[in-house]
Amino acid sequence: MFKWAVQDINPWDIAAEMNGVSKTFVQKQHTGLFQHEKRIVHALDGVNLQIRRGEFVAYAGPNGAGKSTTFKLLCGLLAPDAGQVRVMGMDPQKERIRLMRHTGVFFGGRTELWWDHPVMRSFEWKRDVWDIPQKRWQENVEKYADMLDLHPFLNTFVRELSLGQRMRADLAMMLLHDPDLILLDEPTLGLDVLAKRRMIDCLRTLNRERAATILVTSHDMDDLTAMAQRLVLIAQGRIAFDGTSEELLRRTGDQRVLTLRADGQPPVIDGAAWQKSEDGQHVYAFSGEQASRVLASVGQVKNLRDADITHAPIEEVIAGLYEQWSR
Amino acid sequence: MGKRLLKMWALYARLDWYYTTQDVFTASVTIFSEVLWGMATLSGTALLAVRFGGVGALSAQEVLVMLSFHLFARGWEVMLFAGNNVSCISRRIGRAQVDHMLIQPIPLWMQLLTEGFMPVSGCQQLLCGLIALCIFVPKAGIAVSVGWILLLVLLILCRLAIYLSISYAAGSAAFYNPVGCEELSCIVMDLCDTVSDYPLSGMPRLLVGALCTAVPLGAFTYLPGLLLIGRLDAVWAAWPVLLAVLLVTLAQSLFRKGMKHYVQVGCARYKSMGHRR
Repeated sequence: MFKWAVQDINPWDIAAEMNGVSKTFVQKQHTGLFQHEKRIVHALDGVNLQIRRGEFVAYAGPNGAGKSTTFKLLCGLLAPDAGQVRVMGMDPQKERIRLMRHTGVFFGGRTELWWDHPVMRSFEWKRDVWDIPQKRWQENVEKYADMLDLHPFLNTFVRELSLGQRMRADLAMMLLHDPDLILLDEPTLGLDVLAKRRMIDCLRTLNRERAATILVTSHDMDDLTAMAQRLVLIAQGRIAFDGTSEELLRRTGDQRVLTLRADGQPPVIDGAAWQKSEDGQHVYAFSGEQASRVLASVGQVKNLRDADITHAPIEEVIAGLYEQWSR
Repeated sequence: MGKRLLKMWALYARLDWYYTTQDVFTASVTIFSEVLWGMATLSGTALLAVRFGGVGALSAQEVLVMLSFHLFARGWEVMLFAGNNVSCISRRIGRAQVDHMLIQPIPLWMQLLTEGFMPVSGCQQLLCGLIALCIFVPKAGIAVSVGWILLLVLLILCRLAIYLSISYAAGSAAFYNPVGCEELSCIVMDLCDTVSDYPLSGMPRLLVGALCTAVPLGAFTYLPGLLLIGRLDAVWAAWPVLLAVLLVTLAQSLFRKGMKHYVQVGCARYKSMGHRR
């Protein structure tokens, strides 16, 4: 057991809590030579959010919606302008050190690894800084190296790793101290299908076996629905939706996007609405309920070279929610 | 706490050892260039002092003792704080790398005190300085006693405090202007290094006074040098101590204020390529 483990935190059921949290930033707009205008950006606007212990929550939204700001508030990198943030019963600003012993933070575009050292050395650094007992550390290194397939490059210099390898190594390092709360900002960003699958499987296992509370952001609706039990959608600093993916589908309809590659004019697809065409690619929107009609119609398209169906991008799902509100 | 500090120093010493010994060529070039750089920084003043039989009221031997102190103290600065941009703190602030520090479960002061430690790749100037002191102190006729060694230690501690304070006071500007001030600490420290080894003896009193108080470049080498060669009474050692206390207080206040600003507004820019570079 860690020297500082479990007993030094209060018993808690709510892993993270935000009550009426607002955060604004001032953006400088360059309007001409020596001329600037200041614009106020409301990153979060009175957000209320509760995450229970052991939950796996996907936190999604378009660029600039306030996802990263939420993460930074939760781990004490930013202070709220208004409202209260509590994480595992602690104030992230006042109890940063204690909180960080129990929290794992992963920013997709950044790395905690030591650039000019092999991966393993970063793991050793983590052991010493987090004061992880040798035995526990050794077990965790083995476990996550297996789970994330790190063995082939454990002794490779970080600067020489591919993006996918680096992100897997980063994830493993983040997990070495057995964090109770895991905050992952865009962990699948730029990963290929296989690496993405491995990362998602690892996170689901952690949530299932260790009851770790996980909050993850992504742009990709497919990733989010594959990972989390609960979806929280944020747009323009406000929570647009909070529920399961099934509830979201019921609310917005199972929005799908069909992309066809076919020569000539965009073909008419029964059950789908044409949206745009570019370089021989035609994009349509349709509801999942119409899938069989759409597929039958796609089968009849002449000169069809390729077809692809994906979930609608997060921006469109959120736009659908706003449309519902305005009705 | 002390045990934790030692553990952290040992960790960064190990990392520095591994980094330096990645290959023989890198290790040799690093060590050789550090020695060369240390000698080169002093050679101009040293040659002038020898050629003209001293600078101002100081003899050539006394100037060489002063320069040896400069090299020795600089060696400590490099060995303890040059790694991972700890002494060039504006880089870490301006590149939003403070985020990486805030997610570690140890106090910031402990990270800053230990992360810069590079006893393998950064010890060359210290060794050169020590050798130079061993050669030039007896030649200048200085009697080395316990008191003298304690004075040397005190002056080095003061210099380290003054050096870091200036860097952190200037570097705190990066909290407010990360792009424009990213290199500020390094520029200020380079400037201090370049001019602080020149003996101020013979210069107008007003200028010397200003350089030992308001613009404390004289407190880096000149003032400690005078104390070590016995040109100033030991009571004057209180001045660098006072100066160090004042500057540490100022830097601490500016840095804390900057940190408060940082957690309010964050930093929109981020340079990857390994956040400790």
